[in-house]
Amino acid sequence: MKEPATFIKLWRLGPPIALATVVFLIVAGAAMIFYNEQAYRQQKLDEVGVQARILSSTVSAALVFDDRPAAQEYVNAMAANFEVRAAAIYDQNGALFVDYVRGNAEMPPAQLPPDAPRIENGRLVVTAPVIEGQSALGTVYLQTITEPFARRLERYGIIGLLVFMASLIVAVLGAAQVALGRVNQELESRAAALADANRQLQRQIQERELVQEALRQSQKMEAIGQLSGGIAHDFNNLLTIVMGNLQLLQKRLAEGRTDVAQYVEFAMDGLNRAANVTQRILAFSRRQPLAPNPVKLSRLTTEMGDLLRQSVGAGIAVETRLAADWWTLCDENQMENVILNLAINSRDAMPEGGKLVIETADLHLARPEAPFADAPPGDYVRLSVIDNGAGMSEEVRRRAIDPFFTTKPQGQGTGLGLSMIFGFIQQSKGYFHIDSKLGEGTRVIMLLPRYQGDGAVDDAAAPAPAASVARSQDRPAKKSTVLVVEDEELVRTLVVETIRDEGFTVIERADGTSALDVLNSEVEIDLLLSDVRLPGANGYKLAEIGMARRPQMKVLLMTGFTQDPIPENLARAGIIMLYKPYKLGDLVVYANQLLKAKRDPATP
Amino acid sequence: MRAAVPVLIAVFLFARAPPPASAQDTALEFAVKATYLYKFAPFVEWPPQTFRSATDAITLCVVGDDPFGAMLDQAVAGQHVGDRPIALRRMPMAVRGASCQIMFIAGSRAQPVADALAAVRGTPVLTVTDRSPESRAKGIVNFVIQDNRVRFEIDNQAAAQDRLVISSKLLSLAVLGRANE
Repeated sequence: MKEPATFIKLWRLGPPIALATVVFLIVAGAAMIFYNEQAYRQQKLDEVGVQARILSSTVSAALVFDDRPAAQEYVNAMAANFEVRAAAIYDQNGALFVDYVRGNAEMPPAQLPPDAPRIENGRLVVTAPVIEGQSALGTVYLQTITEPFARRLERYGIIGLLVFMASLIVAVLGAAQVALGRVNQELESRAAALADANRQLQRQIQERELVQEALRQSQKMEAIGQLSGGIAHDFNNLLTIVMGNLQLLQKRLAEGRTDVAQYVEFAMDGLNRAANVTQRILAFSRRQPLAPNPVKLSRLTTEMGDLLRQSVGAGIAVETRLAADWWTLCDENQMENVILNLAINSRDAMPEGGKLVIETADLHLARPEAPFADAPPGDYVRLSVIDNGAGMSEEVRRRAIDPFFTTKPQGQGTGLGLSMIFGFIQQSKGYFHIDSKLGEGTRVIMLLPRYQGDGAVDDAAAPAPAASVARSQDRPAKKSTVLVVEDEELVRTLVVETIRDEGFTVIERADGTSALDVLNSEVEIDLLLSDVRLPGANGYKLAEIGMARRPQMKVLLMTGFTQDPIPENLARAGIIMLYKPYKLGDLVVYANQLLKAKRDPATP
Repeated sequence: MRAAVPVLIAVFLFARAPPPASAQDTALEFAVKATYLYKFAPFVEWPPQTFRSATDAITLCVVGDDPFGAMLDQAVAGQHVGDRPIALRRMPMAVRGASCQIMFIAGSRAQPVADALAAVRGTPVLTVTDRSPESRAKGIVNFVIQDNRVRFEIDNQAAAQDRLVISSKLLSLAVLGRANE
């Protein structure tokens, strides 16, 4: 803002500058006229002086020898110059010798005038001495008219006119500058007003942002509260079951009774349900471990036909419209869960019976369209689950995917179903939308991107790797040595006990540093069973260093954090990752599988 | 310029008095002629070898019976032509090589005007005669009276023979010269 201010200040200087210029021009014009006049006078004086000297030199002899007629002739000759008004010769003593006067011009004085040369009343009087051989003999007097004043005025008038025109131009420029300055001032004030408005707007925006941030924060807190409240509620129920049964078990054992299997069963059941809850929470948080494979949704739906019909019951007609032929990439088991869950939701919305439609279609999006405005253009497979049940209000529809939000009575639903589905679809890079009106049914639409990679051509689904694991029932040779690294003592104790029960030799360590010491020692180790997150060195590091030193050693990593992936290099080396919570039986199966592979490298 | 002309001469010469009457006053006539004599000097150019230096005097000689007397001495006194003073000599006869630049020849019984002229003919001397009627007795300059005024004739040819150059301004004032031209 500094430069425009200086600029405007300069503009404001315009009028005084213009005035000064006009004054300067007038003064310069006057000076020019004055100088011109002086120069003209000087020139005239010089001219007449030359004429006077010519006359003086020709008339000298006549003057010396007192020849008036001759002198008169010379003087009369001056009449040829019309500017000469009078001419005269004065002798050595200044007395008039001869003279010539034109018309009614002023007579030369009888005595030589002392004040020549001079200019007065438009007359120019010049004298010149008559000299012959350096002797002064007398004086010549010449009186001429100067250029008429009117003519000079005319000449100076042109100069004056030029000065006037220049002054006028400068004055006009000055006036223009004044006008421009005013416009600038107005612009400046407008700009200032605009800047003010902008500042106000900015402040309002900031205030609004603060309000929105506060709103977001409160919504987040509400969601977290709902989530944690829901988890606590579910877990409290389950913990009550587990604790109650364990207490009963303890009591019965103290009483010496042996018919306690049902208590253990009930406790295990509660724990399984708890594990199921955490699995669903992980699905919602899009952190469940997925095994995506090329899948044709139409085929998947066809295969689920019986299961679906059984699940929804006889009162509801199930119709499938399976037009999709493109492949998608997703976890097949989870996808089945999704369809089943949605079908069950629809069933619950149609207690009086109704119709359930499951629809698949290939869809090419040329441009983003509602309701999937954030889906980029491309090929998709659309899966819709449609019912003509109770539907939901707009408010319910909007909160439907919030975790632990449920419209079902206490104890009938976890409120995790739709949020789990939403999380899964998002994790599979798909899009999810619920379309519903109260009393008119619900339509759940999902888009999954078309898959065109390897395996898409193979119509047969890839065999599940778990199958081969499950098949391996061979026991490995006993006395294999297993290094168990786990910082959580209870978990470690559990794992160590389970492994030992299988007949392995176990070395246990609680942190990465001491585990490294073991790996660097000469002790023989067949299997490293390690948590990923450890104090000291983490599980990846232990696996890397251990396998570098012991190429034959197998590694089984465990983690409670599903965002811990297996690094590429470790995955290639055949490392298996177990996600907590896992069943101890799985642990044993995997450990045996790895050790068997170690014994017999030909088996993959 | 520095020369102060005696008041008497000034009165005779320049007063706007009427010119001398027919019964002219001889004294006035000669007073005018006396001043004319040295005034010829600025209009005449002598050969360069005539003067030894730039301040050598111009010598005015009166040959024969002097008609001027003290009048001439007064007229010449203190006069200069440029840096040259005017020197006055009187001599009874014209002598060749007498180193006169201007010679007024009045003549005498012993040497008439014509003889005197003949004596200096061929030397750079401006000879002046007074009212000679016959041509052989006329100097280069010959005073005449015209319209009751003192005028003069100039024989420019004789001047040229004597290696003198006379200013055209002077020639234009000469009576005969004017008539001749």
